[in-house]
Amino acid sequence: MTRRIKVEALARVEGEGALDVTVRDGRVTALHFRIFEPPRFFEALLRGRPYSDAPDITSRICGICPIAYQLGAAQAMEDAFGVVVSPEIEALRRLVYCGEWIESHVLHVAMLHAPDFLGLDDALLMAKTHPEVVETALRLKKLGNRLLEVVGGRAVHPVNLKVGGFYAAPKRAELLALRPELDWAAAAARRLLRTVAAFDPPDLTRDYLFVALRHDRDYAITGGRLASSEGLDAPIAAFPDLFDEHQEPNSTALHGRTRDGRAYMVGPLARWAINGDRLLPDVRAEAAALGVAPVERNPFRSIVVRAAEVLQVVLEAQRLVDAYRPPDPPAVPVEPRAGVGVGATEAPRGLCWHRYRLADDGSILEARIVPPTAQNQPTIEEDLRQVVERGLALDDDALKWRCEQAIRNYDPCISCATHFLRLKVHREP
Amino acid sequence: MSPDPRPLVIGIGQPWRGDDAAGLAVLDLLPADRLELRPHHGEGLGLIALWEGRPLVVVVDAACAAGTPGRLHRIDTARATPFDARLFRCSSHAFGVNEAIATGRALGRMPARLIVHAVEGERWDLGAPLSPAVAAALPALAEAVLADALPAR
Repeated sequence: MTRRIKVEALARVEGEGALDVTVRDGRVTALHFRIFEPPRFFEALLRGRPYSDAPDITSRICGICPIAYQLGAAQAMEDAFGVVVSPEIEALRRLVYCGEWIESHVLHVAMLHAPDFLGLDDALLMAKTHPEVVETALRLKKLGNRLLEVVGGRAVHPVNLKVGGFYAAPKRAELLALRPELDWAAAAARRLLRTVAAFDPPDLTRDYLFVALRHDRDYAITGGRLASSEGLDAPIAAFPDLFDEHQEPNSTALHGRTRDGRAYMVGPLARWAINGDRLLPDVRAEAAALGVAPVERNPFRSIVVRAAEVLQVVLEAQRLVDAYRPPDPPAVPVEPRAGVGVGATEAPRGLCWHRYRLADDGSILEARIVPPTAQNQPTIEEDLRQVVERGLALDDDALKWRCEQAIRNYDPCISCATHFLRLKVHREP
Repeated sequence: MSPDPRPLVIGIGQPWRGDDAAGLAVLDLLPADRLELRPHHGEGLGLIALWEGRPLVVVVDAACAAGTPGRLHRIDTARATPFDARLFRCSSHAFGVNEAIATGRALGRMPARLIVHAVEGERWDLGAPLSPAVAAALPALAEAVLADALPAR
């Protein structure tokens, strides 16, 4: 007898994808997590275009995290042209990136992932059963929006970022006007963290290889060196020597592995484990008081770390606003030349790496973009294998739910694609 | 910052995904001096943040193929209860237009009036242009949006 489980839509994952599982004699014999990712299309689209188009075009890869793509592209061009931006530009980039983290993390924590832990079918029920959480999420999200508007020029598809810096620097008064809302947000982020820290996670602990950027001073967001839980310390240009992507027959996405073939994890749990000593003391203390360990190895705890990161970036945004001096000039001049440049930032979902090869006139000869979800894909499959094997006693619906929840641990931005994720489980006793 | 007094039209879409771009393309056919025109990717919390407190909001989006590409749909959210979610099953977002409307209702954060216009799409491939049927429907879609956004024109 074969039991077959089929789900038409896997909700609350941004984008589209599918999961196919076959179980025989209590073991998972096949598991494929398929996703659709558009960076390959954008890499082709970029070829032949001027370097200055890259931030704008790549920002369209993902509506949720345009800054991650814009900034990675801008940094790569600056690297190729030997340009170093001023500390003021760097600080303003970090501020707008804080806005993006707030927006992306709050949406995922409160609206997409929390319902799993509260036993609710969807976020619509959240608004009825936990209106205070949804109200808080909405207001935090608005603040993130506002930061993107004031610094990025627009909340959706921001237009103010360019290679070398910004087209225009916001006035100090415009940023100071956000200060009262940031004060509210600091308290709200603490409440949100307390709420999700009390969630009871399913039991799953794994010995992950964590990979994240590490900055010499800050909790890595806009840049740093490549670091891992095994002590890796390398410049971002070494990424292709250390990590590989290969195409799976089931997917348009590339699967990332280390050069010796191992799965690794990027994103909140990896950053937390690698950069815990770079957190603001306030965040570290708050998290510790709520029982968040310095290294969290249960992927179902990622929601808690995401919420702690919201507190981190809200507090950072407060400081950046207080210390803000408009960069003058708002962008450093850029002189194109032939060469190769790399850029890497910590997108909300994890490390996002760019490399461009450029001609004398600055036109793009070759583009390569490695988004976080592609890197996490083999780890998501490994998690799912364990989730299914441990969950075989669950009925079909409960097992499907658990698989969806496990996929959502990674907030997989299967990207701003269309359509939905399909889930099939075949049970062969 | 005081809200823009003009009626707000939100065009939802992804510019590189075939007919998904219809909601963005229609904004080019509307008068920017008399309407506030906002392109948007359709993420629901962002939509609520945009529209709450506004007297009149028109949302334009592509809808899943339901047999007739280019066919126009109009949903007055004051009347259509429950909202027909099936039209927007192909939204990019897990928390999209339909969820934004339901959540906005539950929290009392809806505009005074919200009307959704949709055009049935046909193709969603990455890099594809609008299908001929949807491209041909854009002027009629713009006209329908105008009739709601600027009824006294």
